[in-house]
Order: sequence, then C-alpha cells, then structure tokens
Amino acid sequence: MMGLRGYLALAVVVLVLHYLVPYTVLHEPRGLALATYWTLLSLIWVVVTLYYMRRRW
Amino acid sequence: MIEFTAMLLAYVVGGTVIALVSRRFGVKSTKEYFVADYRLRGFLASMTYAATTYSAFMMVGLVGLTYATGIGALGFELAYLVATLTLLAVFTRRVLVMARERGWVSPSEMLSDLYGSRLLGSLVAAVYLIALVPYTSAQLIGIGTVFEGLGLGYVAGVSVGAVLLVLWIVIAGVWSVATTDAYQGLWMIAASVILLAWLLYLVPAHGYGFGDVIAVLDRVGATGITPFWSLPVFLSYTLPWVFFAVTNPQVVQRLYMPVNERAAKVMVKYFSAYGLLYTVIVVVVGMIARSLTEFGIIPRVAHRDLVTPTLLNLLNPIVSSFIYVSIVAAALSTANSIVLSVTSSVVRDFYETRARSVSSRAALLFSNAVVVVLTLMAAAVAYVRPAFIVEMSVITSVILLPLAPTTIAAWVSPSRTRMLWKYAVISVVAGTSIAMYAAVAYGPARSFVATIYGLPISAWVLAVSTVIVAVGCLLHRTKPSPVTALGGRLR
Repeated sequence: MMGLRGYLALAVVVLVLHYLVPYTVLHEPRGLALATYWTLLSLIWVVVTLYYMRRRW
Repeated sequence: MIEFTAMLLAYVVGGTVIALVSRRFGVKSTKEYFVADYRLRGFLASMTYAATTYSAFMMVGLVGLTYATGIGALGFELAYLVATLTLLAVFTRRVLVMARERGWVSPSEMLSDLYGSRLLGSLVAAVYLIALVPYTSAQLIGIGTVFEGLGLGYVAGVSVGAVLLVLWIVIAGVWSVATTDAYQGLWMIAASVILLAWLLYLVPAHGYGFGDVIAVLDRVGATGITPFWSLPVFLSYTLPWVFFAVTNPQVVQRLYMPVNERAAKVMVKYFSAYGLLYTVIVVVVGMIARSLTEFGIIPRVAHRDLVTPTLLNLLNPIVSSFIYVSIVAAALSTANSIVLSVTSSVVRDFYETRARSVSSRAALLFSNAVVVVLTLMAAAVAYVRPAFIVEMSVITSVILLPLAPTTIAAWVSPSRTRMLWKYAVISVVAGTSIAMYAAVAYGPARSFVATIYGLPISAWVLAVSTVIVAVGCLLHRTKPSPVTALGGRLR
C-alpha cells in the first residue's frame, strides 16, 4: 500500500517526467505524441491520486 | 446583440434565483459568510473550487496561447493540475482538521495563528490586496471587452460585472458564491463542449479530415515544443502555478469548507475530472483554430485574445451568445471568490482581531461594506483600463509565490512554526519585494519571463523565500510538542 512518502516520491517523478520527456524525447512535432503523453501522464496521476486518497485518508 | 442580451438576462436571472435560494443555508456569522461554517457538501465544494480556479483565461487566454504557441500550452496548464492534485492529496485532510480545531476563516488568519504573529497575518492580507485587486480588475476588463466586442459598450460590461460580483456575494456570502459557482461551472464546461463539437463539425464540413489537421499542425511545428516554449519560459509559466493551491487565498480557503473528509474526497475527485476535461477541450479548440488559419478558413489572428471571438463570429448567434456568457461566467466566478476571500482577510485580520467587541451583525455589515469597496476599487481600475493591469494580473501568481514555503512549512509542522514567525515575515517581505521590483524594473509582462543567470524571476522568488524559511527551520530544530488530532479522522 502506498504511503505518503511513496506518493510524494511518485509525485516528484511525475513532475520531472512532465518536463524532461517533452524537452528531450518528444520536442519535435510528431502528430499527437506530445499531446497524448501529457494528457495520459496527467490522467494516470489523477487515478494514482484518487487511489492514494481512497486508501490513506 | 439581441441574442447575447437575452442569454445574459437568462444567466443573470438564473444565477440570482440560485443565490437567493441559497439564503436558506443561513448566514448569521462571518464563519458562515466566508467559509459556510465548514458545511459544504462534496459536489458544491468541487464546483466552487473548479469555477474559482478556472477563469476567463481558459476560453480566451489559453485558446489564444495554444493558437499562437502550440501544444506547449497544454503542458503548462497540466503542470498546474498535476501539482495541485498532489498538494490537495497531501494537505487537504490536515488543513480540514486544523481549520475546525482552530476556527480559521481567512488564510491570512491561518498563517497568523500558525506562526503566532499578527504582523504576519496583516502582512499577508496586504499582499493579497496588492496582488489580487489587479487580478480582479482583469476579470472585469475581460467582461467589459466581451461587451465591447458585441457592441454593448465596455463601461456597461464592467458595470454589469461589478454589480453581479457584489450581488452574488452579499445575498448569502460563500453560500451564494458556491451555488452560483456550481451553476457557472456547468455553464462553462457545457460551452466548451459545444464549441469543440462545432469545430469538430466545421473541419470536415470544409473538406478536411483530422489527419489533415494534424499534418498541417505538424508542418507549422505546433504539435511539438515551439521556440516560444524554451525551457526557461516553460518554467516561468509553470512555477508560479505549481504552487497556486497553497498561495491563492480563494482556493486555500476552500480547503476549510467541506463538511467532512468524504466531501473533501469528492471535491478533489470531481475537481480533477473537471480540470482535466476542461483543459484538454480548451487546448484542442486552440489547436483546431490554428489549423483553420493554416487552411485559410479563418484569417490569421494577430492578437491572441481575439482567437475565441474570431471563432464565435462564425457561429449561430444563439450558440455564440451561450459561449460568450460562459466567458462572463468564468470571469465572474473567479472574481467574486477572490473578492470574498480578500474581504475575509481584511475583516478577520484588520477588524475582528482588533475591535474590542464584535457583534455578528456588525461584522456581517462590515464584510458587505468591504466587498463593495474592493469591487469599486477593482472596477475603477477596470474603467481606466491601464495597459499594465492585464500584465499585472499575469504576475499575480509570482507576487503570491513567497507564501508557498511559509504555508507549506506551517502545514507540515504546525507545532514548530511559532518560533519561526520572524523568518516567515522576512521570507514574505523578501520574496514579494523581488517580485515587485522585477515588475517595475522589467515591466510586468517581461518580468514574468525574464531570467537571471538562466533562471526565471519566479524561481528566484521561490528560492529566496524558501531558503529563509529553511534557515529558520534548521536553526530552530527542536522536538515538537505533542499535537493532537492532526490528520485525525473528522467526524
């Protein structure tokens, strides 16, 4: 079960990925790749956050 | 014009009826007036959080930003959402419990209480006034501009905005604000869906497929990181918004309001869904608008804020009126939450703590008076329409950024912060001074993206404020006194 430290560590990873991948791998125009990446990453984080809140609150 | 007037009238009547019905919740004290006596149910809490957060910037500013600068705008806006969800997940429950234990009403009062310093509370209340009155003016300017574009007159728009702003607050305080926010939030998302649906029809109607849309956007680089979105600029835009949930009083205060933990969970769940959906829709609208220009269907729009009006001019007048009213709703729902929140700081930190005895009736009368005065101030600036006001509103988030380390330190370790009030005061003064100096030295708009040694001004503001608070924490590391009920279950 994910504790607070685990959640915060994941949050840092997600925020770093939010900046890192677009500026290294996905910066060139490649159709929907970058838009999909950012949208999916955010959606995953929404799900993880709601799961965390359901388990830990 | 007739269609917009009729739609606006329907919107005003609907909102006013809702506000009047909300009086049944009862407002007899400033705690009820400003934070609903901590009784908001999940749906209302989520909708007021969403409508307060998402202003006219979305349907006008973000559409135009996406049109002009490409998909980087999506990354900018989603960085805010990801960070906000994290902060809400970590701190909401704790703040909910502490607010009830300590009777918090205004966020400046919260900091005053946590740090044991009335000076800090007054200072923070003053920072709110400096940062947020221009931001409120910018919302009224937005409404005035909508009216002006539709031939109804700029002054009329500002006046209507100001009157509604006051009316939907004084009717029942945060109850009328929250219920009209729910109404307006639904209007906003419905309008964005309608606009998107129409664009999804318009593109094939002109003989283009969505493959063509993506190909043309690829060709102009809009689907990748365009030169506008250099890393320093991306950081400049995102950094202040990453901490929005802990620096802006109108959203901090909404953490006090849910009736229980379950309502708070519902608030976060619905807000996250709303935020993700609204953001994606608005950005897709901006990208499709850009493709329409590249296809020659709409002319190139030089001024970003005119992209949405350009699209709406092509629409059926009733439908475009519905969407124009949604922009008014977005501006108003943000503006009245800000005015109410700043009023709470003025009332709690400058009046109720200083007056010898305060009757509820006198406090409520004073609160309404402050609402009117703040609105008049914002409207007066909006009437003049100085060029720098919209720019000033852009750096509002930078001016408030020094509150992030101060607030987070207090939420993480409330038992220790009473020893740190001097560091908190210096942190807020130093950070705000840097932000204000940069606004004067570079001009508000340039200061938002200016860098010093490669780092944006916002990074320096955050770094300086954080270092000061961190030094205080390190120098005063002691065993914390027992704190009861922190993060405990809320009955």
